[in-house]
Amino acid sequence: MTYNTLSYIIYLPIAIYITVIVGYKLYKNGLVYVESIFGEVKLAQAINKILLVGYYLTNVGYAIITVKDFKHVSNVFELLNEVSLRLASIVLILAALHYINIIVLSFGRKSSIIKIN
Amino acid sequence: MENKLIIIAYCVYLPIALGLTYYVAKTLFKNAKVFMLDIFHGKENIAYATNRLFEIGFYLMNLGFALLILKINVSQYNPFETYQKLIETLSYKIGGFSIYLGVMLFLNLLLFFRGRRKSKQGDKKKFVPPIQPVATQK
Repeated sequence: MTYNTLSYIIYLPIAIYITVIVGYKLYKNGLVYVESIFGEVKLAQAINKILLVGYYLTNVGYAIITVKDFKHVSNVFELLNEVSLRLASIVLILAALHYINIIVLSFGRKSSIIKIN
Repeated sequence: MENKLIIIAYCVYLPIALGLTYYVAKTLFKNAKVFMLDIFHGKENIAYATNRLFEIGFYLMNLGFALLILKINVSQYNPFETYQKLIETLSYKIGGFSIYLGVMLFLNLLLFFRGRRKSKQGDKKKFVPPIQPVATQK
């Protein structure tokens, strides 16, 4: 087993775990927002579920696809560097997406409140 | 060794891709029923039929794409001999397919939103507001 294979085996479970946990927390706490935008509980639950699946597909897909960009790893230090770099980029991308999401949700909420009034 | 690895790759790729398509389609169209009932004003037979038709289209498109990208290209410049190469190729294919599925899911969701908006607009056109008494100013 080469160091590259080892780094994939370390990297993949951690990346997928982080993505899934973050998605689940956002799904649970985002329901209130989606409900306040659409006003109907059933529709909001359906939309929230579809959004969760879409989030999983795109972000887990991205986490898996970055395995192709790993550099050649020849010792333990390089392995740690490479794995932490990739994990850091995944977490930073998730953070950026999360803030974009919050901004979009707050805009949607404002416009729906204006419509109701 | 090469043939064995390619067969392992196919055996891993096919169940994951097909299972992922099945799971996504099941979740999407279970939740789409609410949209369809909303769009067709609660007429159950036409709403469920439309839902089913969308589902068949989704399956056809995604299973077709999954099978289309199955082939692993091997040449003397691009050998397929180590487990490292196996993991890299599989991750590229499965990750790419997963992102593609996500984009397709969001496209379908956009279609549902569009249908809902159009049906609401249609309602507004049909609705004729009662004539308001004009206040006369003196």
